[in-house]
Amino acid sequence: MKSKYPGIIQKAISRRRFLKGTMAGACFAILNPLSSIATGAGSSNPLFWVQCVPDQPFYGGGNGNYHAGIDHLLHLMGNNGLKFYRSESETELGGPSGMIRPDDVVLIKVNGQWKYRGCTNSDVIRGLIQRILDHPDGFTGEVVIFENGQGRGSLNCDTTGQGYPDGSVHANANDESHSFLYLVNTIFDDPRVPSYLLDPIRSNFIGNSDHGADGYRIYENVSYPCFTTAGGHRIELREGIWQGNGFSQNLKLINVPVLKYHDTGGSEITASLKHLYGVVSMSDGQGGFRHYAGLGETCGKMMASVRTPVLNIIDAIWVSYSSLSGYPANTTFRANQLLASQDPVALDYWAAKYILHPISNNYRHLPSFGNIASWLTDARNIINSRGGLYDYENGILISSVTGNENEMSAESIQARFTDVSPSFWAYQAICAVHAEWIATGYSDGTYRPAEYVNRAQMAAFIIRALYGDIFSYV
Amino acid sequence: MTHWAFRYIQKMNDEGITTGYADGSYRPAENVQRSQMAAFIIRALFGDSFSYTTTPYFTDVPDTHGLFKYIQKMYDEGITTGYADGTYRPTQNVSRAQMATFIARAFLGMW
Repeated sequence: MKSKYPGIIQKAISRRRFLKGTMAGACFAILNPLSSIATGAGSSNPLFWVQCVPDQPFYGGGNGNYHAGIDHLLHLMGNNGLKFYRSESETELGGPSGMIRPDDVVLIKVNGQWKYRGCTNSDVIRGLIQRILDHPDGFTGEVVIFENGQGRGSLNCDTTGQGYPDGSVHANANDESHSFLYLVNTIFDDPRVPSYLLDPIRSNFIGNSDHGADGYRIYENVSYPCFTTAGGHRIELREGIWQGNGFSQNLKLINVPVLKYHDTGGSEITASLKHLYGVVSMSDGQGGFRHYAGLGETCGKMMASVRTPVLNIIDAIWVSYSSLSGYPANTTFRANQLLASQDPVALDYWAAKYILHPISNNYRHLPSFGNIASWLTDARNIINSRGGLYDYENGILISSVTGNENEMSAESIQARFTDVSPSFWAYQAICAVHAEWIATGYSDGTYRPAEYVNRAQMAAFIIRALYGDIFSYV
Repeated sequence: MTHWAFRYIQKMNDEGITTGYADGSYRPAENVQRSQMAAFIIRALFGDSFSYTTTPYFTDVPDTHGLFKYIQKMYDEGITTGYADGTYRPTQNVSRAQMATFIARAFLGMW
């Protein structure tokens, strides 16, 4: 697997993480930066890259739902100032400017248009949902898995759409029965965790004053859904949550595409922009324009003017490198990575260049290739011309999205130690203390399980277990 | 230069999890013994006053042992079961693999 990768690109590494990495700190290998170190704090749009997610990602805890990839991602973000939880107190994963409030309605956009490895990995979604439910202030909102499969979507991962003759369930998960509906009905079985499939309402267009019917509204040349969740929240994706006489903005969108090949001569690949684009209705007569000619513009408008995801997480656990259907399995590659950012353009650029292309070795998957470059550019232009990406609670999330690598910075972490195999007796415990950022290992990616613990390390373990890595002291 | 673990060790002292040695040192490079680990973990979880089973669990940790109550409490809480021969081996060093297991049990609710 390793030879497939260009190495870990560690640009603009923060001083704090550098210090951690040089001592008993973080588990990541610092390899040669590919290009110049980005200059000046704040000039780079950050990317968060988790590699070496274990094949068996559930390491115990959280009712068995804690996912090593998701947990490393949240810690990696939190330790670099991007807090997942919005909470009064500043902690490793939370703070006053964090993303997810305890009373939010969180929409998780998955790919359910396909099945097998063409849909979003549900193990990742499971780990993400558990962490939302574990909000430190107590989660009282709702988490809704949603998707518009354009007429062939299924949250049960049993679509018989293009390329699938069979109607059987094949989720993209270690256990193929773990469809999104399985998560909702069996894994969580919690009224706070429903799903909503947009396919049945995608041809029903409603007016601006209709706050009852489930359907779509047109905005410029895109469209967006309005629907009532199982928990009774009236979602109008562009406006917010209808409260009877106005809208509240405790509506958060997390965009979780599976990274894959799409076609030849069109978008070429699917990543975060193309994935959110899937929310539009294709039944309004503009599908042809959008699907290819206006792809970048459509994606950009969905991001900038309909609803900005507070986070985009690219699922690169299994990467389908030569078929968008994720089937057969021999056209997928287990890359075991996650890549996240609030800048979808930077994210798609990076995912194409450093994850998909090294696997496919297909020049059409490079972000410099004409087709991809053009929609990245179009998306960038429309987003930036509208003032960047805005969040109602935090103001500007990304003032200027970028397709220029010199304006990106990537923080990376390996979710698994190189010297601890899954068959090792303490593997699960080591995964757990690693995912929780309690024991971060050595800078060469090792944990050194047989080494004795000294009193300094002991102090670090215990204090991090109690308080995380952010605490006051005398 | 500040020791890399300065803030953790300060916090250990702030929270009463350790007071260091009588001579005012902490000895950060010294290996942790299993008895000391028990004291650290139990103080971190329960402070210094807690109930525990007074009948000794381990043949090599009599009630006269200086850290007896912490080791007893480790067993009470299911954080350790000791060795199959009924010993705890209080002076033995702790490997990083063992430590991960103890931390996962004590703080992460695993097993």
